[in-house]
Amino acid sequence: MKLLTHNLLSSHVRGVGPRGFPLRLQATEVRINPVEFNPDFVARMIPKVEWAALLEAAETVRTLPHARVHLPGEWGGGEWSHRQPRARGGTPGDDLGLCPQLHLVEVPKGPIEGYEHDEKFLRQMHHVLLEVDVLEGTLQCPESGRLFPISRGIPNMLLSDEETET
Amino acid sequence: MAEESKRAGSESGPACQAAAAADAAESSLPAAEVAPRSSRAEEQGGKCVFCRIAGRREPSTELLPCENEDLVCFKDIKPAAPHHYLVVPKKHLGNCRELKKDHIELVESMVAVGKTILERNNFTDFKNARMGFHMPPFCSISHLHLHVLAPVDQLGFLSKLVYRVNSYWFITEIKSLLSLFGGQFISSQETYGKSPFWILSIPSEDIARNLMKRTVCAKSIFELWGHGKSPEELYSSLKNYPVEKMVPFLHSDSTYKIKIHTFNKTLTQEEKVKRIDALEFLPFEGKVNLKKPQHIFSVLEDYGLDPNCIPENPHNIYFGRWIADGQRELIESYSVKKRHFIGNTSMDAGLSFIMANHGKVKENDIVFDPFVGTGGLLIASAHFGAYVCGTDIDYNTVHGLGKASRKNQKWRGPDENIRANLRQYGLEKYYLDVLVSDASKPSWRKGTYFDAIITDPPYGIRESTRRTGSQKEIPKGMEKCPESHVPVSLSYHLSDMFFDLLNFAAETLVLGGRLVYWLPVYTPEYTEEMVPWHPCLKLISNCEQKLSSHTSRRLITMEKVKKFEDRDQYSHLLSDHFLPYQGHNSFREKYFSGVTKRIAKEEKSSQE
Repeated sequence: MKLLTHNLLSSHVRGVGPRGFPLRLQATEVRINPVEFNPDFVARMIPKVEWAALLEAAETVRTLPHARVHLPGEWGGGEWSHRQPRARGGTPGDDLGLCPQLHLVEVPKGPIEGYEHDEKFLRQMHHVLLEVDVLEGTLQCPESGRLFPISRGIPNMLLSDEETET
Repeated sequence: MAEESKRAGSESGPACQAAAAADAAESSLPAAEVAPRSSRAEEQGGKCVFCRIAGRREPSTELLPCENEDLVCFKDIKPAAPHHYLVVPKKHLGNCRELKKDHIELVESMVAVGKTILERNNFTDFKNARMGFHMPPFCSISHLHLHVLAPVDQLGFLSKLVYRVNSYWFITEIKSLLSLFGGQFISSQETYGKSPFWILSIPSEDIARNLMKRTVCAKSIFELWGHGKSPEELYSSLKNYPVEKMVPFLHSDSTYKIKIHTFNKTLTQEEKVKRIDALEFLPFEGKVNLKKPQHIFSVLEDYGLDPNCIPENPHNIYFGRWIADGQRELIESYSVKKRHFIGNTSMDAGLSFIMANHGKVKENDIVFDPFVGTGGLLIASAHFGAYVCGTDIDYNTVHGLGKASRKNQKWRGPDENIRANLRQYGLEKYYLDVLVSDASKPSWRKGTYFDAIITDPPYGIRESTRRTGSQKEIPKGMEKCPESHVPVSLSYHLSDMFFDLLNFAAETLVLGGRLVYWLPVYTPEYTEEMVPWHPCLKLISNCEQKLSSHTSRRLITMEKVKKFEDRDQYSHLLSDHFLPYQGHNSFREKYFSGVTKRIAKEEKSSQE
């Protein structure tokens, strides 16, 4: 699940309404997935982004332990769903154990003036919105606490019978 | 789907039924007649935009001064020429087919007003002006209106399209594409389903090329230089074509070649050469290059549509300069036969491209499919450069697990999921996300972020219509399926589903965004009122495809024209225009009703 999608999702548990946004992200496995940079598309998305929610989600991914983040090139692309993450030795100087890619890339705090032409800004946003893929984790409704699981990168938003809004 | 559906968009035209219609009105009568009830209904409902303009109830349209009390005049909102006005009678008359002898005076006065308007705007060369009515189904609004256009020579060149598919489908696809590129077309002839050729005027060659880069219905487009019903007529028409328009493509530094295409007949090489020689009178000065010419000219001969009755002489002959080919090879390259991941109801490749064109999908759009299944519709949109996402209630399909839909294959392999499908065509970068979700209970925050919603909802025949619901409604004996995490689902009445879909589209589409979906229909009971309605969405087109003798499905295209307000979700309760799509609740029973009748007949006859 990309952080762009997370930014658009809201809980629809009965009675929750607009307080169901944003869903609290807990990620247990994340993959950094290189995607071709398209500045026009990223520029189009900027006005639709809810920044507070995005920053919160990016922070939870950033503070993920090193071993739970898969970087590009680990097993040469292709299917990842049936494999386990390889054990990794720590890089020298990296005792914080934080996700290195996101650590290097600063997440902008908000849209800046003239962002449509600012390539650095757009590349940062591109990385945060489209290249961070949450493989396993949960999304939690902020109001009711209900958990929606994410497995194999796909969130399951189905509610059980009792919770359905009538 | 039944076998007929696979043939849609392919060479065998007869499998698809044509239902000609103007934008807002739909009629099940043959193309030549237009149902007058549609125009009356519009007028009564105050829905006719020209009635509103004439009654000065439309503040955004400025009325130009007009001496005649019964007429009004205003500028066309999508001008096809530097001067483009519309002259409209205040009284509501349908389209030009409803004109009778007593209307002669009215039409003459409309023409006079048109001339006055041009004069007033400093245009006096009336030979260079054109006035006329559109023939249905080319009229966008079924309130009589006279187009006044000038100057005509700046209108753009005449081009001709060759197409193979049922023409009504083709026309609606081209209309959607042209509105995407900001062009308008003018057609001077009526054709639907009869001829594979169509003559239309398009403002520029660039728009024609852009059109061809998208259309799956059209084979090629040519700049028309001459045409006629016989070789002599063709040659005289060619002699009338202005030489200065020919010369840029014929000068001595260029290379060219001439091709002869015949439809429904084969010619020998000698016959073809004879025809090429007959064109010697044209001022060709360049060199012939058969391998890689700069310009290709074509002679197209139309020998009709009946392969059992081929005439000696062609019905029509056309000569033109080839501009571009359409995208028909996409149907083969994206064919479902070769796709990695398919389901029972995966959409035919050709139809998925037509749907993407109806949705006016363009680069950097976001396209959403709430009933994504195996992602067939997403692939077409991704091909045109849109970023795609989808949801489905079925956990197994979204994850790519479970039993395979292919013959000879038991279970799905690891490479069978929606993402892998996009990867197969090199479109993985356009994959945003898919979710397991119930389309009747969407989990998106408030806002407008989809540029198009293109979907094929379940009809309840091969895939069941389901939604999540409360315990009380569940019939006894249904068990939860632990592995797929799907809560018990209950039957989802089709009418509710379309109502939910339209509401969802009205809420989440950007203004001007399109909703494209299939509506299953029990043909004997179908009326145009059954097409679901919403105050924020305008019906753009309604194309029929037959599934069986008594059922068909309709491709509905709607465009969001009004911002969504909370009260809009209850509009169907207040409006008496909206007759619920009730018949469809038992679509499944009606679909199989033919089968039960036949079984009963067989039993009866075996007893005798």
